[in-house]
Order: sequence, then structure tokens, then C-alpha cells
Amino acid sequence: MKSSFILIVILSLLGTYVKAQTPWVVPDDRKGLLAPLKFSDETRKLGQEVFNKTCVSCHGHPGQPDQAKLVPAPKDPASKEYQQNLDGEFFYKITEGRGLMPSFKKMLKSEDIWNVISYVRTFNKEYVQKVGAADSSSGITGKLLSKLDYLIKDNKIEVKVIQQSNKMPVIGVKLSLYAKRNFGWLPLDEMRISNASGKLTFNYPKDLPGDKVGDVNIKVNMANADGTERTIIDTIIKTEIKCSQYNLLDNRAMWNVRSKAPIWLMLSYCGSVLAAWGVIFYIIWILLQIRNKGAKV
Amino acid sequence: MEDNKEPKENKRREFLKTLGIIGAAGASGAMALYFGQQYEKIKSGKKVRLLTVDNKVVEFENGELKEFKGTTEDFIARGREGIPGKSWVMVIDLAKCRNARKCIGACQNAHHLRPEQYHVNTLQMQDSEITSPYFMPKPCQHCDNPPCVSVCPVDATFKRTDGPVLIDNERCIGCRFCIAACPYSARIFNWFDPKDAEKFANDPYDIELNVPQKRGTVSKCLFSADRLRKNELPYCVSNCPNGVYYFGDKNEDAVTNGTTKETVRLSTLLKDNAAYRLMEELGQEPRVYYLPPKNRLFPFPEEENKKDNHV
Amino acid sequence: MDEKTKSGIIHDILKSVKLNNGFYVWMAFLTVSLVFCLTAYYQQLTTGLGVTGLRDYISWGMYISNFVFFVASSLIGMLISSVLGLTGQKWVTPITRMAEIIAFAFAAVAGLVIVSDMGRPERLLNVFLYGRFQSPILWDVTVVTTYVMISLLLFIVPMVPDLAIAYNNRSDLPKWQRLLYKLLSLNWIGSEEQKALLHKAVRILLILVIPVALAIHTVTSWLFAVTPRAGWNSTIFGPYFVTGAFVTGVASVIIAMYVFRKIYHLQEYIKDIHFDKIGKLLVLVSLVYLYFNINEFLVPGYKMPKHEAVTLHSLFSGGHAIMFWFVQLAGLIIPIFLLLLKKFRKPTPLLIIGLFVFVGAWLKRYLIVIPTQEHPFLPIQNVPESYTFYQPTFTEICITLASFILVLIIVSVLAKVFPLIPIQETIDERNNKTESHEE
Repeated sequence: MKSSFILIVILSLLGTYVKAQTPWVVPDDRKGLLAPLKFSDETRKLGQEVFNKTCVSCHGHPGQPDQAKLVPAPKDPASKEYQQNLDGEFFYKITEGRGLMPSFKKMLKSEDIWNVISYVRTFNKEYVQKVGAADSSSGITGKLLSKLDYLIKDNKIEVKVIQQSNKMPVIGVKLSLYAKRNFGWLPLDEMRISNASGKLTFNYPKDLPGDKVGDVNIKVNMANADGTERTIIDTIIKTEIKCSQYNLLDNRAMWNVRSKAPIWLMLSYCGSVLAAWGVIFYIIWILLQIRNKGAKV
Repeated sequence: MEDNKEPKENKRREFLKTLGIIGAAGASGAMALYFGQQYEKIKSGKKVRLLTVDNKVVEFENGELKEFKGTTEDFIARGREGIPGKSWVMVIDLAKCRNARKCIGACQNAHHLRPEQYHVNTLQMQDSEITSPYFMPKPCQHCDNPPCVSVCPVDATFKRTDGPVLIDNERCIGCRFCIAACPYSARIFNWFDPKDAEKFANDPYDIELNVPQKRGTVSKCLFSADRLRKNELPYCVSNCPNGVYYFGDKNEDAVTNGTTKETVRLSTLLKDNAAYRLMEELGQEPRVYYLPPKNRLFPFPEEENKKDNHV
Repeated sequence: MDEKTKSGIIHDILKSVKLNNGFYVWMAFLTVSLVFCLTAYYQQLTTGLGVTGLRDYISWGMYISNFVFFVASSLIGMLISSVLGLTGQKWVTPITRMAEIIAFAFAAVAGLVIVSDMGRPERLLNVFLYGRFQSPILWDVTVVTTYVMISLLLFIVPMVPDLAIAYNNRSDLPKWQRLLYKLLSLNWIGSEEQKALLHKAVRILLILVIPVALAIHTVTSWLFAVTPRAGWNSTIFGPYFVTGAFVTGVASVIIAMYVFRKIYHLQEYIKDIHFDKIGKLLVLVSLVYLYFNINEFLVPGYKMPKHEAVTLHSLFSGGHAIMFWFVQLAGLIIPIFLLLLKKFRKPTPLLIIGLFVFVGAWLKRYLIVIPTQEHPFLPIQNVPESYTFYQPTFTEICITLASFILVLIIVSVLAKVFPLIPIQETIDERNNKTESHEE
């Protein structure tokens, strides 16, 4: 009984160990991705800046053993194992992330990611860059199909994707919907793919607050082949959910400013001060009377 | 889009109005150049002309010009107002904290604090003997029923419409009642001259940054009100390397992670992770939410457990 | 002794008012000590409160506990003259003025003590400019000021007839002193009209002082009780502080009685019976205080909630245990038992007990203020070792001593310049006694 328990524990521990060390497989369609630009001293310099700001805290300085002590351990960019990755694999891993490695899709632009790759490649003497073709999806655009000045009624947002040059619908484009919030864009629905007529429909959340009149700034992003995104629609829609206009400081409270003190408190303070000092001044008046009475004699 | 622009414009206009002197040209050299050409008659290469808000052209010696940030009074008037329509909240994911202390460094740097002075401090916690230890970043909780503000005798520390609890060190008398009242030990005092006191002695006091710090006054976490004014994430939030902090506007029901810049629904995040607030039972209504340290991502350094002085 | 003539009484009591060499030497000593101690305050002003042992976690220390002690001591004026006076306790007559002097001196200096704790004393005016009704500090400042004023009036007003007597009987005094008597005696001629007015004024003052005195110490207790901290978060802090204040005050009056009786040769006026009576009074107030102590410690001690437990442990058996048990035993419980015996209510044993109670009362305030802060809700971490405990510095002790010296100066001057025993009242009481004998 006991030994089987230990065995299970060991096996499960082994399991987590194996899981942590599972090779990071990059889908074939992303593996072969190439940088659309030629790596140069400039890209390397820009890449180093991004690397030092974003990557150094875990991966350390390339070639130095100052990586963060994490499990699994972040790899040294100068190591052989690390440099085995293809450019496309790098790009995929940086954009998507896994476990402790964060996804940088939302934090870095695709140029930045390529710059970082160009920088870490300086630690591989054998590396020779292959330049890829420029993105072909740049001509695609989209428009909202909802009526009534984009007033969200049935919580649906319908989008049509067209080729800008010939206004023809584009089929099979992956789109995501976002709403603007203070510090970033909030994803609203899952990724949708345009149908035969270039259309697709997003579900819009019923309860998302807009601004004080209910307006929400939304955008629709199209997924590029490299996993990054490009905005094709950026507009304001009207919703019926206005954000709270409740002002915390309107209520009288112990913690509020002096003028917003509870009335009973103000009255008791002023009342007791007036009463006490009123009596004190009355006493002084009596004393003056005593003085006067003595002076007359 | 237009809607978004307008408040910004308004703010800017208001700002200029309050400043009262140097106009739009102060920021855009183009305007200055334009007027420079218009008034070519007065020949003087060293002079710079700027347009004031009341449409007067004023002339300065070039060398005297420096960026005008505002006076102490302007900062205080603006800082006590708060940003309309906002209700700032913070979410701290304890599962992700590995005590990197980058938040602390960025904060101390921004607020001119000494190494032992904390607006945010990462504590090593263990709730009971056999429960797991974890790291807990602890900024001011910016309570909606703040005991520290209640006890302040002079309105030096105050609650703002958008949530943060700020401190006016031009008003503070140094009685330290707020320090005694705070159950989260979030406040500190300038027992000596603050760090680099002489260097910043003549700077105007920015109430939203609480800088320059002043001897004999209380200092505290401000939710980086100066950054919020610029629509940027607080210092601690944006400097965390591990995605611990989320920050955002409760009115919009969204918070943004300072590391990944990922924006999520606040209500969903709190619900899905069984979020809690510190010492809820005291009823101070904190604005900082904690996600429990479940499935911690980082191993806990065991040797440090021993010197745990948790009480 | 009762047959002593009116002029005899006047002569006895007014014997002390002339400034003598002993007084000058004593004052010179006090002034020099005060100046020395004030250099410490100068250091604090120029360097900052960092010269004290206070740090971010234990940010209230000796100054605040001393402030609480001073406020507590000042409450005795109300207990002796007002509560006992109004209830017709005749034996308090010779010590009422002493009690008022002590009350006034401690209350007045308490205001200064609190200023010494401020990080920005030059902004004191802010409290009046921007004072928040919600803060106990505004109430405290207001009520201390009011109490100082009432104590001063309670000292001067009943003394008016005595000042007239002093003016008329001591033409040998220096000019300024006679002028002072003349000014303050308010043309007193002892007419029925004047007597009625004076009686009315004193009655009103004696009644007014009761709520104000209760307020001063209740508000002071709220400085602690309005915070959520374990150990301060208590509903009985108001009465706990007020009853504690009576213990402190009675002890200080016992000390003053002994000292003044000795140096002013007042054995005929402050007799052993007065010591006996005030000894009994000390038992009474100590018992009431003990009752509140039991409530304050037994109730949380029974439940031992997480955070209270840490503070209670540090008091009962931890770092503060020696001081705590000294305060409870030597400052409260043992005095109660000893004073139940008549022989301990004689002047000298009573003085010794009084001194123990006095010191115990001061330490008690220290134990109320500091241990709670050493154990906040969240752990104290990542700060220098010195932040985790409180150790008063030399500077801090000097400044605290300065406050005691100031109290001594005020008490010495007032007790010297003015007649310490009420003359008119003593005469009246003796007349009444003789009359009732004759009847």
C-alpha cells in the first residue's frame, strides 16, 4: 500500500517534470516564417534595446550565466540549444508564449520582435538570414454592417471584409473584436472567420459599460500570417450601458473633507464649543460685576 | 474617436487656463517661429516670443526659458480634484509574484524614497503553520472607508473622486495619526531630511507624485496619480516583470496587466479567481483586490521561511 | 488648635508667599535643567523627528504616552474640587487649590507635549484653519484649551477673597506681587452681593468642569480607540482612561500634599486625617480602575483572537512582561491592599505608595501606547532591525523631562506666589464649627 503510494507520487512528479520539459513544438505553417526585412546593424541595435527592457530579467545577458532561477530555466540566448530555433520558431514562441514565458503579441509590434531576433542572432556566428516576402494582406479592409448608427441592440456586430482595390469580399480572414479601455484593448469575443460573402458576426457582451453616454470605441483586428494583428476597423458604437457616474465624495462621511462631515458631528462640535465658552464668558462677566460692585463702595 | 479626443482637449485647455501664462506655443516651437517672423522689426536673435492665452505676445531672453511644469498651488488644486468619471482599482495576482522587487525599485525611484522607505512593499506571508508561504506585494489599499483620512485633523490626506487616497505634504502637520490608524501599515514618515533633499528643494511640489518629499510629513502610495493623469499605468504596475499587477477603471469593468498589457474584464477576473481583499472584516473597503496564491509559478526559497517574522 | 484666631490663620497661610532664597535657588536649578533639556528639542527641530526612537511602525512613543499621562494627571482638579466639593466633603478644603494648580499645570503643559510630537510644529495653526470635525485631534485641542481655561478660572475665582486678605495683610511684599493681588482680588470687600456673585460663579465652574474634564480624557482615549488596531480597538477606553486618570491624579496630589506640608510647615492645616482620607480615596479610585483593567485584559484574553493575542502575550509573558507586572502589582494591586490598613495611610508610607502609583501610572501609559504598535496586522519586513521595536533615545527622554520640569516650574511659582491653602474658606469653616458647638 505504502510503496504503491510512493510509486504514484514518483510517477506523478515525473509526469510534471516531463510536462515541464515537453519540447515546444511550433506548428508547421508558422515554422517557416521569415522576417520581412533584412537584419542590419540598425535592427540589431533596436532589438538590443527591446531585449534589455523586456527579456533580460529572465533570460539574462546573452553569454552570461545570469538567467533567472526558474523552473524550467530560461535559456541563455547565446547557447547552442537556443540558437537551434528557426526564425519562424522564435517568432512563434515570442508572440504566443508558454508557461512562464509570456506572450508578447500584445506588448510588442511585429517589427520589434523581428529586431529582437536579429539581435539574438548576433550570438550565432553561423547564422545566415533568409529574407521573406512582404505581407500580402495589407490591401484588406473591413466595415461594420450593423444599422442604426451602430447602436448595439441585439448584441451582435456584423462585419464585412473586402479587398480595398476591387471591393470584392475576402473569404477565410480571421478577425477579432476589441473594446477600448483606459490602458488597453479588451478582447470581446473569440476569433471569427469570414464566410463566403466576406461577412462574419461577433457577439457583443450585454453588460460592458460604455462611457457616460454609453459610447464604446471598438476595433476589429485581422490576424496576419505571422500571428500578429492589424487593425481594419476602429470606430465608436453606441450602447445603452452608461458607466457609473456615482461620486464617492457626495456623501457625508467620517472620511470625507471637513465640509462633508456628518451634520450631527458638526452640530455637536459647534454646540459644545459654544456652550462651554459661553459659560466661560458668562463667568468672566460675573467677575467683572464683582469688580464693579466693589468699586462703587 | 472624437469623443475620446474631447476630454483631452478640455483638459489641456483647462490646464493652460490655470497656468495662465505661457500658451500653446510653449509646447510647439512652430507657433513661436511664426510669431518670430511676424515681429521681425525687433531685431534680436536671442529673444523668443511666445503667445499667451489672452492672445498677447510676450518676449523672453532665450536663456531664461525652461519648461514650465506648473506651480505648487496649481498642482495642489488639480491634484485634489481627481480625474472625472474614473474609479481606479488594482488587482494583484499572488500566484505570479516571485519577489523580484522591481515594483518597489521603480516606486522608490519615482517618489525619491530611501531604500527602507516603502510605498509598496513585498511581504513574505504564511497564514498558518502548514499552509503554503507566498509573497504579497502590499501597496496602500486606497480604501473607500479610509480610517487614515477619517482621523486626519487638517484635511492633509484626502480621498479623491477617482479613488486614490492622496497626501498633501504642504498641509500635513506631522501628527502621524494616520500611520496609527492604518491597519495595513501602508504609510511612512520622513523622520529625517528626505533623500536628495537639497537637489529638489526648489522644485514645485507635485501633490500627485508627492515629490519633493518633506521632512516631518507623512508619505504614502498614491496609485501613481501623476501617471494616471497622463493615462499611463502606475510605476509598480508597469515595471513588474512577472505579470503580477492589473490596473484599471472599475467604471469600465476592465483592468490591464502591467507586464503583458493584456486587458481583461475586472468582474470576470475576480470571479474566476476567487479574488479577495485584505482584512475585509475591518470594513475599510479596499480598492486593491488579491487573487489567491493558487498554483504558484515560482518555488519558494525554503531557507527564507525560517526568518519569517509573521505575527 | 481650632481656637486659632482669624489673624493666626491668615498669618500661617500667608507666611509662604514671600519669595525667599530657597525658592530662587530651586527656580534657578529648574531653569538650568529646562534650558539643557530644550537644547534636545532644538536638535529635534533641526534634524527631524528621526532623533527619537520612533520609526514607521512604532510612530507614537514616549511623547504620546507622556501626553496621555499629563492629561490624566490634570483630571484631579475636577475630582477633588468638583465631585468631592459639590458632594459636601469638607475635608478637601485645604487641598482644593493644590489640586487646581496641579490640574492647570499638567493640562497647560500637555498642550506643549503634543506639539513636541509634531513633525511640523510650525504648522500648528493648520489645526485651527483646516480643522476637521471628524478628527479626535481637533476635539482634543479644543477641549484641552477649554480645560486649561476652566482650570485657571477654578484656581483664581475661589481665591479672590484670599487675595484681598493677602493684599490687606502683607504690605511688606514687593510691588509687583501686591499689584498682582490687587488686580486679581477684583475690588473684593466681602459684601453680601459680591459673596452671592462669587458663590454663583464658583458653583457654575464646578459643574462645568465635570463634562469638560470627562471629555478631555475620553477624547484622548479616542486617539487610540478610533483606530482598528488590536489592543486599542476597545469600547471601554473612555472610562478606562478616566478612572486611570483619577488614580494618577490622586497620587500626584498625595505627593504635593506631603511636599508642601513639609516645606511650608502646614501641619496644622494638612493633617494626618487628610492623608488618611485621601488614602481611602486612592483605594476607591484604584478599585474602580482595577475593575476596568480586568475587563480590558480578561475579555480579549479569554478569546485570544489572533492579533490581540500577540499583544497580550507580549504584555503577560513577553518583552513587556516585567514592566506590565510591575505596573499592575506595584502600581495598583499592592497599593490597594496596603492602603486598606490604617497605618499605611500615614503621611510617609502614603507618600511612598503614592510615588509607586505615580511611576506605575506613567509606565501604564507607555504600555498602552507602544506594544500595540509593535504588532501591526501585517508583518514588519524588509526594514532595518531598529524599525521592529521601540527604544526611546536620550534626546527624547530629555524632551520628556523638560515637560516635567515645566510642570514643576508652574506648580512651584503658583504655589509660592499665591496662598496655597484657601484662607477665607478655612476661616468660615472654623467659624461654622464653633457656631455649631455653641448651639
